[in-house]
Amino acid sequence: MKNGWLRWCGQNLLVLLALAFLAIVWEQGVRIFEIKRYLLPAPTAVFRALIESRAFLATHSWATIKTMLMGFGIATGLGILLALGMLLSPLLARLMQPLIVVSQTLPTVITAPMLLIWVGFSLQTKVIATVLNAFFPIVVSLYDGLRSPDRSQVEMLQAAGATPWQIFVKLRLPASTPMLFSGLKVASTASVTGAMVGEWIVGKDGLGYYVRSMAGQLETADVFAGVLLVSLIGVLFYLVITGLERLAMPWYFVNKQTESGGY
Amino acid sequence: MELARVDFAFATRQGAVAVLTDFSLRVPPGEFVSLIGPSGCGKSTVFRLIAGLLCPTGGRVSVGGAPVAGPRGQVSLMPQQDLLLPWRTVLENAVLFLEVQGLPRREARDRAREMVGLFGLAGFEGAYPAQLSGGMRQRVAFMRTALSGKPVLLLDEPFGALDALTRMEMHQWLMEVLARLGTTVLFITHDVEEAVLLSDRVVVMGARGSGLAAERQIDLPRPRGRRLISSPEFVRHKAQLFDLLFAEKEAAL
Repeated sequence: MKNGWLRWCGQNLLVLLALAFLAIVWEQGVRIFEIKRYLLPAPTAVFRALIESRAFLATHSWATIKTMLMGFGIATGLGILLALGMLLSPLLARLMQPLIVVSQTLPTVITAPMLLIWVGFSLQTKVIATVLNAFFPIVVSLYDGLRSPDRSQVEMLQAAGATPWQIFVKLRLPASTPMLFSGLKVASTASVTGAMVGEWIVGKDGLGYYVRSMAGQLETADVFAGVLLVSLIGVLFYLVITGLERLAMPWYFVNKQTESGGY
Repeated sequence: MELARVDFAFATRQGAVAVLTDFSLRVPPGEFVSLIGPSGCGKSTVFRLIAGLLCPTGGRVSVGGAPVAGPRGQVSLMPQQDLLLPWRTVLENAVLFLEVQGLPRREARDRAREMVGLFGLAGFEGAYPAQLSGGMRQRVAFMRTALSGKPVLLLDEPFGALDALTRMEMHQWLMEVLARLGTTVLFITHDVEEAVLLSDRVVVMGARGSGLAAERQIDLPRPRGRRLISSPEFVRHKAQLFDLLFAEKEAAL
């Protein structure tokens, strides 16, 4: 246990040192070779941009977070409903499966302009773009998870006199949670991408819009600052989902530990 | 519990394949009966018929005098794999069938807590299945089956996956528990020694398509200890059952 801690620190220290080294090389490289500000800003310039534009960045970050959360929430609700519907009705499953897959072969960058025509330059367009990006992993993972219990498990409950509802609640639903959370994790980062595409196209607010307009003005340091915040939001959101996962199914991680750790 | 002249056939593209033909078996309350027979002779089918998971194509299946019609939970089945639910703790797994019967959660857990000691699981109530050894997992599975309070238990090769030593421990333990519970047990196994040790009666099933072949009363006194295995009477029972088993196998060829 103690050993593991030390190793953990060692590994992360190495990562931090490597990052610091990269930053120094980058900073010195930009100075020595006198690289133009609009081509590649030095880390200190990016940091300055973060500080100086903090009010702007805060507003646009908030807009992005709102879009992302709304899109993710709707995608989750829709995904769960669709997966349950497909479980209940094999006909629906057969009808929806090709449509769902086709919807994923079309990148949001392509479908978003259509949304502009139908929905207009509004929050809805951004949210729909996010939903389109995020719902696929949720539907697929939950649908597969709900069908993961095998026949012998179902028969065991049937023999005990369980109703279909009891089999659903006591077997299918809990059995599907690990896969559902895998889907939610993928969807969490996909919803950031979706929000970016929406903002890029609608062009009113949000970090996607901010980065685009700063790039137009060749304010590259601000572009970097925006990109940094986008990835920070994505990572934080992913970590939140991972935390929820641990809360929702402690058994899963107990089991993992014993399997790999040799208790 | 009784199966009277039962037929069962699977419908396939090539036509019906008979699994059981004219199969009869009567198990009075409190008796421990083992079913042995070559692979594919329909042992598991007999279980599924009694559990109501399958419907016979002919004949009658009844438990406690009433005919079996669908899986209504008149018997309790312990499958080959323990099939514990990994997200439930030992205690939560043990009360699964009680919950299915609609017993309030609190009451079910109280009932299970009283039994934990008998099943050798004291101190492990809150553990998850992945933290248990194979023998303990089987004990949880058996506790879940026994706790359902059904008068008939169907055990389908419950110790098949355990190592020899653990298996011997489980035999002694199972006999102790059953002596206290007094339930009727129908037991499937491939292991003749296991069948002789545990049973009041051993039924040798015929190869595919044929019905009941032969049976043998095991009149050894109880309690039966580990030492019994090497006694002359025990070995005689074993030898005769092997003869019956291989006669069946040859008849099938």
